[in-house]
Amino acid sequence: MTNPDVIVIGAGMVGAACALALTEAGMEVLVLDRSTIASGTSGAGEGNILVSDKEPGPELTLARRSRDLWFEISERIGGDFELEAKGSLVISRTSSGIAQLRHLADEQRNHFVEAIEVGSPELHDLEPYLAPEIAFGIHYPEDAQCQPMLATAHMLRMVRLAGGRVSEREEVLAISQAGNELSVRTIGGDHTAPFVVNAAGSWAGEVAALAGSALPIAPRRGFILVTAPAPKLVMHKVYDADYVANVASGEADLQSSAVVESTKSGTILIGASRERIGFDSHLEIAILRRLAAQAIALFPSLAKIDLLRAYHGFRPYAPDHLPVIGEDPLCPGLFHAAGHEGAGIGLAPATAELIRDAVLKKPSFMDPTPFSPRRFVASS
Amino acid sequence: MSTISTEQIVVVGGGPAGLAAATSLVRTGARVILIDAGERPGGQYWRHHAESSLAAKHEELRIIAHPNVEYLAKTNVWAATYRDGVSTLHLLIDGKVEREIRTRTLILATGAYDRSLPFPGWDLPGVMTAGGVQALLKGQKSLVGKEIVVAGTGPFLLPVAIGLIMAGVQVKAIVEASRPTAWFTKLGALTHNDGKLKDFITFQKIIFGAKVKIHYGSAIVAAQGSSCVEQVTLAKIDRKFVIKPGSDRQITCDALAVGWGFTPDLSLAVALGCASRIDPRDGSLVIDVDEHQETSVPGIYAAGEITGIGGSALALTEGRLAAANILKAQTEDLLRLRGKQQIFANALLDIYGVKNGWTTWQDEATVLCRCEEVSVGDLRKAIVELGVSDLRGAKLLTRAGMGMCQGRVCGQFVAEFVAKESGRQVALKDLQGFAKRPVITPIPLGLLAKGAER
Repeated sequence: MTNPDVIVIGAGMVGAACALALTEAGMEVLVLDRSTIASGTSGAGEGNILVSDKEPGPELTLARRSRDLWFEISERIGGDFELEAKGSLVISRTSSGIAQLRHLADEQRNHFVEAIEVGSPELHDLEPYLAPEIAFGIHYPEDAQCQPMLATAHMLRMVRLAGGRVSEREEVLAISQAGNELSVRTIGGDHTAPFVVNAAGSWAGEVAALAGSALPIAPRRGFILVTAPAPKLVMHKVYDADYVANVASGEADLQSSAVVESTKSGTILIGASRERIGFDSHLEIAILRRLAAQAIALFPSLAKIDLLRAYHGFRPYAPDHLPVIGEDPLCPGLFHAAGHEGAGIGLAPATAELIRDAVLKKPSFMDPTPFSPRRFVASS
Repeated sequence: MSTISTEQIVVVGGGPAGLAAATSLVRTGARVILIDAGERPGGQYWRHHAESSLAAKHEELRIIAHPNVEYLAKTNVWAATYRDGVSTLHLLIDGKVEREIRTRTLILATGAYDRSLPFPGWDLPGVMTAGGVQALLKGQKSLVGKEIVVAGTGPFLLPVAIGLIMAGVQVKAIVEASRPTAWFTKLGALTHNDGKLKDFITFQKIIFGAKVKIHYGSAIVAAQGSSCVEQVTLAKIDRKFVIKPGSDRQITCDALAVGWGFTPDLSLAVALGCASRIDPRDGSLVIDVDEHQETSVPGIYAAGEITGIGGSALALTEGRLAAANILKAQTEDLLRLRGKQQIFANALLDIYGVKNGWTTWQDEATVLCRCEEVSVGDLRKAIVELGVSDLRGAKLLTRAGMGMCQGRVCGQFVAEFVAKESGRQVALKDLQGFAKRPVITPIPLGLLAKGAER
C-alpha cells in the first residue's frame, strides 16, 4: 500500500507529461501502467506536434501552447528525443481543395499561426522530389516532430529522479472513494491518493468505468508504413489537404490520405488511415496498397523504395473530436486526460498543464471548459 | 494478380519438410502449389548448385516436375491473412510480380535461419554465419576466405568445415562449445540416430586426415581486424559458457564461420495467427502443433524446424505426417518414427545447447543490432536510465531490431540480454512481439500500389 499525492494511470505520452508537470509542481507521483512505457498508442504513431491541421478554436489554442511547451521541456529535461521543427507542407491539387486550404490558412493566420502560401517553383525548392504537377501548398514552419517513445521515457526518467515511481505491469482493477481520497486497487495491491489522473488513452473509457463513471472514448485505427532506409527524399511532413477533412470526419469507414515524412534513421513514414472498427488487429492489405498509391502520387520516386514494415495503432477519439481534460463530475478527485485522437503527442504538455492547474485549483493559460468531461457525463 | 480456387493444397517451403509433404500429397493424386524462396528446391539442407547430381539421390527434389505440382521458385510470401477458414497468401515472385493465392489447406515449412550470438568484432566483414558460408559454397561454389575458423556449436559445424576442406580452403580450427563427454549421458538416444552416427565418424576421419584440430569446450569470443577480420580470440569456456580466465589465445585467419544452432522462421505462421510457444529445449519461439502437425488455426499445418529444431530426418517425417493427416491416411508408422527421431533431436539440443554465459563476452562498444548499430552500452543506458524492461521497449527506445533484418538476427539475444540485465525471464510476449511482422519480406511500394483499388 502506498500513499502518493497523485496516481497517474497510463504511462503513455499524456500520462508521462501529466506526471512530469505534477512532479515539477512538487507532488509525489505514482504512475501505473498495465503494460510497459508507451506500449499503447504512444508507441504506434509518428510523433506529430502539429498546428497545421487544427481549425481555429480551443484545440488550436491548446496546440499552440503545447508546441511551445515541447521546446521548453526539451531544454529543461535534456535527453535526446529527436524534437525537431521540421515544418509541414500541405498541398492540394484541386481548385476546391486549394480554396478550402487558403481559407483555413487565412483563419489560422488570424490566430497567429505561421502559414505561408507557396506555388511553383518555390514549392519544389522546399520539396525537390514532390510530383512536378503539384503547384499549390501551404508551408507551416512551426509544425514539429519528436520520437514519442523516447519523449515518454525521458519525461518518466525525470519523474523517477524526483522521487516519483513508475510501476509497469500493474493493472488497475478498481477505483473507489475512501474518505477524502481515492483508493486505487491494482493487481499489485492498494494505493490511495487525493488525486487520480486517467491517462489511459484509447482505454480511458474502461478506467472511467472502474470509477463508476463513463467516457465515450473509442479507438480509431490507423496504419503506418515504414520504408527501408533511403536517401533523403522528403524534407518536411508533407500531406494532402484531404487529411484535415479526414481528421474532422465522423464517418466510420476507411478514410486515408497520404502523410509522408523522413525520419532521422533514414526511413520514410507513410500514414494515415482512419477506421472505426474497435480494437481489431486484422491486417488489411487494401489499406497498405492505398497508402502506398497515395504516397507515390505525392513523391513518385517512392515507387522504387521497399516497404519494410507496417504497424497500426488505436487513436482514442471522442464523438466531438476534442480531448477530455478535467475533473469527473461523478467522481471528485478523478481527472481525465484522454481522447486526443491522433494529436496526443503534440497536445500532451499543454494537457498536462491544464491538469496540473485543475488539481492545484489555479487559473490556467486558457479556459478549459470546452474540454470538460461534463459535456459527456451529467453530474448526479 | 490472380486468385485461384481454394481446392488446392499449398505448401510453403522447399526444404525437406515441405518437399516431403508435397511428395506424399501428389502420390495420391492431390494437386499442390509449392512456394519456395529458393531458386531450386532443397532449402538450406539440400541446397545445391545447378549442375549438382543431388536430385538423382532424392525423390523429393524431383517432385517439382510432377504434373500435379505447380512449383513457384524465388517466391516469397510478403504478407498473409486468415479469415473464415481461408488463408490468403500475397506472393512476391522474383521481387517483381505479385500474385495472390487462397487455400483452405496450408502446410507451413518455412524452416530456420542461423542463430547468432554477439561478441566483440562479430560485425566485422569476414565474420559470417556457418549457414551463410555453407550456402555460398553449396549454391554458388564460392569461398569466403583462404584461412577460415569454424566455430560455435552443433553437429552442423562439421559438414560446413568438411565442405570447406574439400573446396581447398585451409580450416585453421574447429571450435566447439560442447564437450564430447556430454554424449555419455545420451547413449540411449544414439540408437535413434538415422545414420547420423555413421556420418559423424566419416566426418571425423576427414577432419583428422586434413590435420584440423577440434577445440572442445571452447569458443571464439572476439574477432579483430581493421577493414576485415584478421584474427580471432579462442578461449576455453565453462559449462555455462563463461570464459576461463587466462585461457585465451589468438588465431590468425581471414574468415570466421560461426553457428550457434538455428532459430525457426515463424513470420508467416504468426501472421496467419498460429499459436506459438517457447521451446524449453533451446529458448526459441516455435509453432504449437498437435499430434498431427496441425496448428491452432484449423487447416494450417506446420512441419519441420518451425515446430522446434530437429534436423532434416525429423523434418521429412513431419512433412509426411502433415500430408497423411490431410489425406486421412494411416499415420501409426510415421508417429512411431517421429517419436524416435524426437528422442535423438532432444539429445542434440541438450548437448549443443547455448548457455547464457555468452552475455559476459561483450564490452560496452559491442554491437548488438547490426542493422541499426545499437551497442551494449546503448542498450544498458536504455535499461538503467529509461527503464526498459522488455524486448518491445528495447526496440522502441534503442531501435534494436528495427533495421533491414527486422530483428531476425538480434531479436532472440537482445531479449535474453534485456531479461538478464533487468532481472527478468524472457517472456513469451517478448518473442511473439518480435515474430509479428505484418510485412514478412520487403516489397517495393510501386508494386504494392499497383494493386490498389482504382
